[in-house]
Amino acid sequence: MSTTANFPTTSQGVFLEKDIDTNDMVVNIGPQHPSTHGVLRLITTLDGELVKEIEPVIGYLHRSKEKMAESRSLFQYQPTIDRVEYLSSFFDHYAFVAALEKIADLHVPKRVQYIRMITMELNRITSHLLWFGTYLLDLGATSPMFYAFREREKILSLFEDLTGARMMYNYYRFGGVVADMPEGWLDKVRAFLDEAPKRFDEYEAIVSKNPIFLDRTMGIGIIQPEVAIQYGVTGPTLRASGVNLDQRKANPYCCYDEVEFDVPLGTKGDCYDRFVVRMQEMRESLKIIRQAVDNMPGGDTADLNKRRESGDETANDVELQTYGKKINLITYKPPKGEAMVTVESPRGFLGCYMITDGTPKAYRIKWRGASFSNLSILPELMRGRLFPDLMSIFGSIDVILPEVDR
Amino acid sequence: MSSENEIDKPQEQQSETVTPEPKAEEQQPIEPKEVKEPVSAEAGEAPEEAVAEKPAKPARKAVTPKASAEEGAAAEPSADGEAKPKAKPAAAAAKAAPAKKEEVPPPPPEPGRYAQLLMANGFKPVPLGNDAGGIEMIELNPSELREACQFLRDSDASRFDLLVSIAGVDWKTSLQAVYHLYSTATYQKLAIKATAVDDKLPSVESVWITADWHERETYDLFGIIFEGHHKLERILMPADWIGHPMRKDYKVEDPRLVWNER
Amino acid sequence: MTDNKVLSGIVEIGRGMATVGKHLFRPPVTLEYPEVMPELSKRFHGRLCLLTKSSGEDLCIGCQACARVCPCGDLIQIEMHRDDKKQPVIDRFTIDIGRCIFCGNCTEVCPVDCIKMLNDFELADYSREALVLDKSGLSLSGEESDKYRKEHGLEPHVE
Ligand code: SF4
Ligand code: SF4
Repeated sequence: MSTTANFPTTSQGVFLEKDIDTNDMVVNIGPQHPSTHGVLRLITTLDGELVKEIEPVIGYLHRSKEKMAESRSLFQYQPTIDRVEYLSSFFDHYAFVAALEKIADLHVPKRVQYIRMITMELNRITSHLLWFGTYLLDLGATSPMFYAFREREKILSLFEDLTGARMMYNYYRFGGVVADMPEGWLDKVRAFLDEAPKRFDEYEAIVSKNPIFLDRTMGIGIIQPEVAIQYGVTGPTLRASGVNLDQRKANPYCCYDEVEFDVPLGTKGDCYDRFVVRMQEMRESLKIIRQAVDNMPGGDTADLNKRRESGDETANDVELQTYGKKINLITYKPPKGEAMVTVESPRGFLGCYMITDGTPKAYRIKWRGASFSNLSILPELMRGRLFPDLMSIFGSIDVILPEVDR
Repeated sequence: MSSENEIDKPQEQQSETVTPEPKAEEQQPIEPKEVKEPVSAEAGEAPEEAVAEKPAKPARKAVTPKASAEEGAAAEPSADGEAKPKAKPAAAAAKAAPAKKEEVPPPPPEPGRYAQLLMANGFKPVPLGNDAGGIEMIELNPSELREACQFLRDSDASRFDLLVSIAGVDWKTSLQAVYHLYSTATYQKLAIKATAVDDKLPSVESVWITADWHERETYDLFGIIFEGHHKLERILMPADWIGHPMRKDYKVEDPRLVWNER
Repeated sequence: MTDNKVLSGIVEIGRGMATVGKHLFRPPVTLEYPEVMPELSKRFHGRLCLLTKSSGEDLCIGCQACARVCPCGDLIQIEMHRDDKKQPVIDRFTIDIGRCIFCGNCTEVCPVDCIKMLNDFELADYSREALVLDKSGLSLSGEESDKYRKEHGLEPHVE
């Protein structure tokens, strides 16, 4: 594209049209770049400010998670899967554990399912909060990140009480969880539930009507629903385009069929809709957690322990244990079989495809990362867009690189 | 720190996999068996099948060293050295298979909903029953894979418009790709398996755009060549990587990883 | 139209600033870390330790269970032999904390509740070798072990 605008001509004629190179320019972004949320390299072909072509180069974070499964027994492998998607590792664990539970037909007590549901939903909030903070940071707003991290910190402390770790939980087990909740943990969760909506209101007060934010997100990066599905996009990114696909509702797993919640949907599928959908999803998660906390079978651990001490037989029911059937983790050999479990992670379908062959190791473990497919739509979205929109669009699809590369 | 382990693990693991190998081989003959069942009668099938199966195995053996030889001389000695010992258990397992079959005749899986749908429309799917999670599995011949996928995506009765993932599986004698499909309209799931012939499968990129990256990943890790893919390149491993790491006979012999030895 | 946009822009930015400004009057949520230590939960995955009997003798029976479930390969190394009375004697027990990912797998499978995790998280050191802890570095004394068992609700050790 040649530009024939009126460039200032001096007496020497320096700024002649032919002196301006109007060829395409290739700009390499990353792999180490703060806005790529990890190590992603984007080879961008620019024509002036317009992006002609963008090619994501991935694999910088490939840690061969699938290969690692071949040399480790299932239990040995389990701690390492926290790193598949480290911002919401409860979901990795759920997919992994549920796949084996299906193959081996292990019973999971109700109480455990509820604990899993609470932790997963809290995890979804932490993940969305981190996205909220970093997304606004990408757009140039600094303080929301501190506020988002404040709430995230509270949830992480809850996780620390429960599992002993803040990010790499390694808490679910085949047919159970490591340990029951500490006494009084549910009250702490309740306290958080009471406080969180006020904080979310605060976030919305800061940004959701801010004109700069609106200008940078509204009508930008529109994804048509059909295109999104063709590209395998799932999760809030797809729901922002108006497709009602939430596996918690569509194919209920865990105990999601026992709680009431809505699936927030967008209408236009632009960056702003994705923002709104995620913000509402956090509130829906709060709703789920509240119901789960209130209906927790057996109630708080302190009550349960009291009942057990006083000789109440019903308190020793199998549904109230931390394990359905305790298996020997060192020598456990799962039966032959295969299962694919997909869960609705904060970014979409997170899948674990497991094939076992009767040895303690899995024959094959395949991870389906939601971000992997979600990222593949980026070239389509960026074609012909302005370069400054790149970070707005890329941030809004909430890609997390460890999950892309696994 | 732990990455050092991760990388040198496969070396140790190589020796370990030798032991479970016969077990895994037992599993192998079962699948082709199911392939035949709907076509031919139960009786007299077993010996015939053992014969029929053998040529299929050397076929891949011949391909594998060639493929890796093309990619780099470093991989060559290992591929040669390995082909021989590996052929033996494979043949042994094939011989053992008929005897085993008499003991436990596997019940032929009923064709599920989507297998019936495909059959009614002129495809020849092989029903494999349900997986542990209740997802229907069918095996398709590579030659009709693309058409069947297109049909499954467009037919009103199935509408599998979302390709969830493509998982490669190395069954030691053959490479397989497992396509997990999902319908955003009916919320149904389906798994399609296709066994690569000479490490080749047709690409389904024209059916689902997302297959682009998934096929590249499977090619990268397993070396399944998806014919018709517009740009089949490595995606996770570096472009100059030698070999396909998720294959069971893969050994880390990359000179660049020597520093990693502990 | 533009007027409205400008006006609403000013209002909205003002609203955002007011929300941010409110935080000036709230107590800080951060900790002055090296001076104020965070309160960690009892389940915290910190440095590994070996509990001992109340008398201070080794509790470990050298069953290798912890080494077998560790995802990081040969990070726990145990050498043991049995004495005349067929009692296990641990000759060497090293853990390379530098490679440990603090997953807690080892603590979960120990049959005698010997290997456990402390709340100690300040593990930085000047060399990698210093992070390979041997038995004397890992073992707690008898009293400390009793205290640990009491705090963490483990069964007191009985001979
Ligand atoms: S905590 Fe995990 S990584 Fe560390 S020694 Fe124990 S099992 Fe190994
Ligand atoms: S599991 Fe416990 S008893 Fe066994 S070797 Fe490890 S520390 Fe010792």
